[in-house]
Amino acid sequence: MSTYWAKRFLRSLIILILVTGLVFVLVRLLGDPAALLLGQNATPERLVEVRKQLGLDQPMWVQFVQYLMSLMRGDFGKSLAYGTPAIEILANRFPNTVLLSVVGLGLALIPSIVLGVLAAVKRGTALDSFLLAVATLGQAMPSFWLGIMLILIFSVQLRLLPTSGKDSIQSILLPALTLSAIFVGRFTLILRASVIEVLQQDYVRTARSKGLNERAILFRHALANAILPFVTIVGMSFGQLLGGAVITETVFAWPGVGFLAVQAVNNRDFSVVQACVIVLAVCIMVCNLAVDLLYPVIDPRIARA
Amino acid sequence: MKNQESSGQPNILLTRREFIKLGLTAGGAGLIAACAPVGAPVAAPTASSGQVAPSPVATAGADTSVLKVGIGESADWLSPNMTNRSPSFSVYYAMFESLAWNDRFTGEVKPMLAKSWKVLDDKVTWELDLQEGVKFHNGEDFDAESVKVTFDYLLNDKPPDTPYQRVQTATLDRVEIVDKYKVRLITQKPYVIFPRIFNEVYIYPAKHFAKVGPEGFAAEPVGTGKYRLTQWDKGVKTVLEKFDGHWGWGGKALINQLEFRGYPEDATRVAALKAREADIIQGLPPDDAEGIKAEGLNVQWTPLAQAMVLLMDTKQDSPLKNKLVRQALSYGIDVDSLIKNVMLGYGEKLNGQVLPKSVFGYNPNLQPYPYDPDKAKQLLKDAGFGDGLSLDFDISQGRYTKQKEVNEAIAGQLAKIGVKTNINLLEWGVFVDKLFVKGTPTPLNYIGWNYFSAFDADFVLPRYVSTSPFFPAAPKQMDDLLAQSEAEFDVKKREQLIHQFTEVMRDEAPSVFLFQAPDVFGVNPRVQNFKPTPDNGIHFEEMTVTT
Repeated sequence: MSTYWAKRFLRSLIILILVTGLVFVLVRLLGDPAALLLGQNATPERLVEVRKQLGLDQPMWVQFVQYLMSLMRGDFGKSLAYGTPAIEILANRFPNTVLLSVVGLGLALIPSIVLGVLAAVKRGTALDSFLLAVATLGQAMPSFWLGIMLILIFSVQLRLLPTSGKDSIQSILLPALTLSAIFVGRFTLILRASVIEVLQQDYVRTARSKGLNERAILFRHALANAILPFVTIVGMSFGQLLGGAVITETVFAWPGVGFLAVQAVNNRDFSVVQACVIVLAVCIMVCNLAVDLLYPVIDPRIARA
Repeated sequence: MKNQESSGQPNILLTRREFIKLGLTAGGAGLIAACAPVGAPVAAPTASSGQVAPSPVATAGADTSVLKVGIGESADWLSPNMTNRSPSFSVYYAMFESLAWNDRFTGEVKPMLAKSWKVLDDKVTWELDLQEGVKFHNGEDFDAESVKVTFDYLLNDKPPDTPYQRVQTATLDRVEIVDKYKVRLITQKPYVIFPRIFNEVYIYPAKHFAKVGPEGFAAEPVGTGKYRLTQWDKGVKTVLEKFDGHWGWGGKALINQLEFRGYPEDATRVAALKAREADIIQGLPPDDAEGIKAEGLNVQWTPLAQAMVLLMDTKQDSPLKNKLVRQALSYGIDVDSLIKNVMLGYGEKLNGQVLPKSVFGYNPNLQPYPYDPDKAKQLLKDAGFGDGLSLDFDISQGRYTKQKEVNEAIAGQLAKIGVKTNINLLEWGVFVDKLFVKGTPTPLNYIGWNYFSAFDADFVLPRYVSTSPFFPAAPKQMDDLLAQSEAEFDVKKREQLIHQFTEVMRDEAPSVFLFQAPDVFGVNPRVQNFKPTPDNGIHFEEMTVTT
C-alpha cells in the first residue's frame, strides 16, 4: 500500500514539474511583458533595461532553473502589475474561488440528483423529455447571459440582492446560482444515464422478482452503484472550478482566481499566471486523489480489487 | 484481531456511513470557515487607523455622506509611482499630490506642493520653494526630504511605468536639498517642460517610505491628498475618508467618504447604477446612455485628453509614403458621421491636429479636413492609385470605446473612395509588440495618444519627426521646429513654434485626425457639482450628495 502511495506521489511530482515547465514556456510565447509595461513609452534602450530588471535577458533554461529553485523556497516571483509577491495576490483571491465553487456545486448537487433519478425512473415519458430539455438548456445557456439576467431581475428590478462584489453572504447567491445552473444540466444527464444502465442489470431484475419494492431497489441498491460516474464528474468539475469561473467572476466582479488569471495573461504578468496554473494543477491532483479515495468507500468491490 | 485481508474481507478504513458523516461535517466546517472574511481588509497606516463603517447618506456638507463610485476595474494599485494604472487614477487624485498641477482645461502649470520654481542660469538646475505646514495622512511633515526620497526612488529603482519614463525623458540626474523647504532638481540637459513632469510624480512621505520600502508602501500607501485610505479590500472595494488635516490646496472636500468598486463587465456596472448601488459610474457605454436617462439618472461626459488617430506607416515601401495618399484618406473619412452615428454623439472632433483643446500647444487656427470623397478620389488618382489600393489595418481589442464599430465604419468609408482594408483584430499585447517594440506596424493602425497628466504637446509630437519610427518621411522643417520648441524656455515663443509645427503636420497628414475619446459617466441625481475632467479620473472637490 505504501509503495502505491509513494509511486502516486512521485508521479504527481513529475506531472507538476512538467506543468510548471509547460506554463513557463507558454507564457513567454505570449509576448514581451516589458513592452506591455512600457506601452507607448517603450524605447529600445528602456526595453533592454526593463527586461534586465525582470530577469528576462537570461536564456530561458537559466530562468527556468532559477524559477524552480525559488519555488522550492516558496517564492513564486513578484507580480509585474501589482509589484507584490504573486503568491500573496493568489492567496487573497483563492479562498473566494473556493467559496464560490463550493456553494455553486453545492446548489447543483441536490437538484441534479433529484432530477437525474426522476428522469431515469420515468424514462421514455413526457416528464423524462421535459427534464432532458431542462438539463440540456442548463448546459447550453451561456453563463454570461444568465448572470446578467439574474442581476437585472433580482438586483435592478426587485432590489433583493446585490449586483456584484463580495460584501455579504447575499453577494454569493447570484454568481453561485449562475454556476449551478450549468452544473445541474451536466450532472443530471450523467446521473440519468448511469441510473438507467444500473436499473437494467441482472441483480435489479432479481431484486424485483424477489418482491422488493421499487423505492428500495432504487435507493438501497441502484443509486449506490450508479453514483460513481456522478462522483467522478463532480470531483473533476470542482477541480476545474478552482481554476476560476472566469465569466461568472467577471460578470459579478467576484474577486476570484479566474478573473485574476485572465488579467495576468493580458498584462503578461508571468509570475501570477504561473502561480495560478501551478496552484490549479495541485488542486486538480488533490481533487482526483479525493475522488480515488472515495471510490472504495462507495463501492467496496473496488477496494477488494 | 482477526486479519481482515486473510479472511477475504476488504480492508476498508472507513465505512460508507462514517465517510458520509465525516464529509458532511468537514464540508460544513469548511463552508463556515470560507464564509468568514478572507484576508482582512487593509487598514490605512494613519494615526487613527482602523476600518470605518459606511455612513448613512445625509444632507450636503454633513460629516456622514458617502459617495459610491463604480469603475471598470478594482483600484488595486495604490503606489502611483510604481504602477500608474488608469483604474486607480481617481483614487490617486484624491489621495496623493504632486509638486505642481497641470490645469485640465487650460493646460497651465500651477503650484501645488511646490509654491514656486525657477530655472537657474545653467538651464539644468530647477530650484523649487515648497509649501510649509503640509502634513501626510500619517502625520509626517512634507518637506524637502519627501521630495528627495520620492525622486531618488524613481532614479534608483526605475519602476517600469509612466512616472519614471517622464523623469528619464527629462534626464533628471539628482535632487539636492538646499534647506527644509527648498530643493534643487538637476537635469543632465535643458528640458524646458520639466515643470509639467512634476504632476506625473506623486510625493511620498520620507520616513514611512524609508521604513517600509517600495513593496511595503504598495501595501500601505500614504499621501497628502484630501482623502486618506481607510479600507482596502483588494479586488472588491477601496474606501477613502476625508482627511481633516489637509492643508487646503484646491477646492474643498465636502463628502466624508468615497467608496470605489470595480465592475469589469459593462452591463453589471450599468446595473449597479440602476440599482442605486453606485452613485457615479465611469466608462458608461454610449449605447446605454438613453436607457440610463430613461431611469431618471443623468449622463455626463467630457472629451478626454486622448486623441484617436489612424496612424499611417510611412516607413515601409507602401503607398502611404506619398502625401497625396495620406491626404486622400483624411478627406475620405467622415469623422462627423463616426461621432454621430457610431459614438452616438460622445466624442469631439480633432481640429486638423493631434492635439486636443485642453493640451498646451493646441492650435486654435487649424480646421479639420472636411469630408470630401470626390477630392479623396482625385488625390488618389493624382498619386497613381486611380484604380484603388488595398491596405492592411490593425485594430487592438478591448482598449478604446467602440473601437471595433468605429473601425468597421472607417473601413466602409474608405471602401467608397477605392481603398480596400484588411482588418486584423489583435490582442492589445500583440498590438503593442508589433507597433512599439518590433516597429513593424501595418499600413493603418488605430490608436489613442494620451496626454494625461502632462497635458503638453511634447508628449506626442516627437512621434511625428523623421527620427521616429512612426513618421520617418517627416520633412526637415518639422524636425527643426520641434527641436526649437524643445529648447525654448519662453512659453509664448514655444507655443508659436508648436503652432507652426502643427500647421506643417496638418498638410503632411501623417495620421488621420479623428476625435477625442469620450469619458462618459452615469450619475445619480443626488450627486451635485460633479464636473468631468479630461484626465480619465474623477475629482471630488466641491462635490456633494443629497438625500
